[in-house]
Amino acid sequence: MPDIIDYCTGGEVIVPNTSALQQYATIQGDLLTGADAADAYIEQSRAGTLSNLRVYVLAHGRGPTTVTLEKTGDQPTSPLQISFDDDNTFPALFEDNSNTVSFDAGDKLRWLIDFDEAHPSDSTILSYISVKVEFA
Amino acid sequence: MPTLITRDYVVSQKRSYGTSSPYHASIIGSLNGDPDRDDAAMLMKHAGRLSKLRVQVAISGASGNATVTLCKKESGGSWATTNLSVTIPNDVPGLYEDNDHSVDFSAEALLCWEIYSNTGTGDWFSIRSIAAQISDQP
Repeated sequence: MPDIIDYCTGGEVIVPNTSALQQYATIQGDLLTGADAADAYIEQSRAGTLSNLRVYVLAHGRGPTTVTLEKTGDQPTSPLQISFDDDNTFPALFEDNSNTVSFDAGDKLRWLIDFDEAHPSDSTILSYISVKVEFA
Repeated sequence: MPTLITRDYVVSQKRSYGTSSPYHASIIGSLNGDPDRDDAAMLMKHAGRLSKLRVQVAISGASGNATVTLCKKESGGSWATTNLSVTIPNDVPGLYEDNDHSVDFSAEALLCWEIYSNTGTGDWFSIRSIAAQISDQP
């Protein structure tokens, strides 16, 4: 029988327009951004595969933006990603149900939230980032 | 008999701790706030084992070693610290692991993390996440 769980990092967080364009979040726990890149990694004790990325965005005004899974190893930027822009309607749920990323025990995982441009007066409000995990 | 599936339990948030040790945190969720030990504790519904502690440290204090330790209160018992623990020296951020110890707990046990910052006035100890593997007892 498959061993499946959803990882989720949540908690409504406002990312102001004055914050750095690249924000990192842990793959489980609290969504508060502002972590250094290395601090956001969480080492995995079991191997598995990630898929079905879901990102809920309450409001957004910081231009073309992506949320991407990153892991240590030979493929730091994975294809598991969603994107959104100012002209989307918010609140909205964005999903990537096409791509998968495998990881080994000992690999470290994190989320990269990459804002393409800083708008002078707009912020982004994130609600959660969730992903399906099927353990090997 | 119910069994636990092996998972990583994570509590995270980038936050700093000052001089008011000890601090306490739940074993899943957010590091936000400063709950008392009884308020941070999570009631376990199945017996199990915690091991493979991993603590990501952003800033370590400047006045003494900091520690992150699992605390356990078995049903009808009293609080006790366990040997599942990491010690973080001064000014050495990074990942700290305890892969040597494991802690068995019974159904209805209470578990939480206890954090000693050991910082001096004006110093901070900052952690990003605490992760541990949960599984059945062998």
